[in-house]
Amino acid sequence: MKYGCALLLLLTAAPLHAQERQVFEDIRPGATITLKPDKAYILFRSYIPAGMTPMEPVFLREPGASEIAGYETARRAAFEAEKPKADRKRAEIIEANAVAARGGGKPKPVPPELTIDTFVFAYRGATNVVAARYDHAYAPGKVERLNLVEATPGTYVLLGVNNENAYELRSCLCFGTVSFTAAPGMITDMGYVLADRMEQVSTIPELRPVTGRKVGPVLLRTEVAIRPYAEGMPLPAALAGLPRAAADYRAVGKFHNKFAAFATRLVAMPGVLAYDTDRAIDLKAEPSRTSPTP
Amino acid sequence: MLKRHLPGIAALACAAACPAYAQETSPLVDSAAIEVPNLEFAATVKDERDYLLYFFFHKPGVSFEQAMSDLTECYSEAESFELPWIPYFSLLDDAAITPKGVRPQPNSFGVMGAVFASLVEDRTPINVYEVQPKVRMCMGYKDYVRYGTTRAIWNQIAGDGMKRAIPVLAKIASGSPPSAASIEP
Repeated sequence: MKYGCALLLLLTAAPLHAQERQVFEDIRPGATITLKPDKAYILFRSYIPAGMTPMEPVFLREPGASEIAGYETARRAAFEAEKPKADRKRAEIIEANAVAARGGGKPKPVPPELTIDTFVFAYRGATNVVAARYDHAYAPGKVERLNLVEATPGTYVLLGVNNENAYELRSCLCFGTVSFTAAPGMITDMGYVLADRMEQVSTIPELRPVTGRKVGPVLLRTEVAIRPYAEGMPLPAALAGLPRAAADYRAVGKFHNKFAAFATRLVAMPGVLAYDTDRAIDLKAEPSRTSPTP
Repeated sequence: MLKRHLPGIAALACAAACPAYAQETSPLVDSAAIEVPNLEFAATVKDERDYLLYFFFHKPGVSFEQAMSDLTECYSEAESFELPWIPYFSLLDDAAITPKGVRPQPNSFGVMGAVFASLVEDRTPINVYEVQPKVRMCMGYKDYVRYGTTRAIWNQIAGDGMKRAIPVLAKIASGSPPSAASIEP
């Protein structure tokens, strides 16, 4: 890796702090649905425009205190294991550069000294970033489909979207998105999660203002919008009698694009999310603000 | 929610709202010492096709220091780690961690000054296929105007790596308006 201070370690040891395993299970067609009192249920609809590959929303459940403690403990342990190696490697480069300098050679980049503040790693002791499977819809369809997921209760941030079981965060909503609470024992209805290619003007009204431009070669670039639940949206009969509430969305400001192929932002949502240049505005905290840009 | 995420986003939010390079100390980069290449060229069809990859920005009225901060933020975020497979663990508050593994500690030059300082002097050319689309989005949200350029001029600007390119791009962004027509943000 070209930046020496970026140490990516895979920690496979069990976490020191016990915690509940993240549940995020797609409920398949025909399944008998009994809402468990200790599980949350997230429902969303999607519409697949012609030529668009189906997308899968990626969520980040905000971790609890014990999960964060487990992460920090593991991070500290991994740092202490890595620190001597990083110091040794850094010293070798400095020494080699001194030799090269005496011979008129070119020095190599010297990585900054590794500290606990500059150390980052991929934690495998718990999971909280999850995706729904596009091919596991509860109500499948070529154009419209509905997913129902049994999940660990908590606050979920719509982190971005993935495409066709890619198992990666392909498009991050790093410049602004929303979160909602998925309460136990009931269905939280997100309404529609809508995605389309950036390269052509979308037929989806919410996405029309932000599509129709090519921003780079090779990869599929995706723009995303949410159409919150409203009366009349399709709902399978088997779900109609179950406890269900529309997702109460809150704005989430810019966060770092650590692990994404591409970064964009959720289309502004009336009453929830607006933008002032690159800053997300929480309209529930500042209801008088408007969004000059989508 | 914004408040709840404040510890994580405060650093970057401050980078946008606060003076990133405090002036009570000597500047991190001396803008007077930065040489900007000649940006004039007669565009060919191929040049115009390559505007997806080769471009710079300008914003009327922006200071060099603010442009440094904005470009540092956008470029430092634009190179990713290898993408982890879902599911994985992440704190949203890791917002304060750059992909280079650096948690920016505000110094007298501000948060983005700290990030810039932490960038390794590395003459590896910027991977334009990976980086430029992300930077374009990031700078577009900051209301910068985009101008296409040629591969040859881009290599003069950025051929010696990101850390050397950012000050040149900042000087262009905060300098006189380019004579060429702007292109799609």
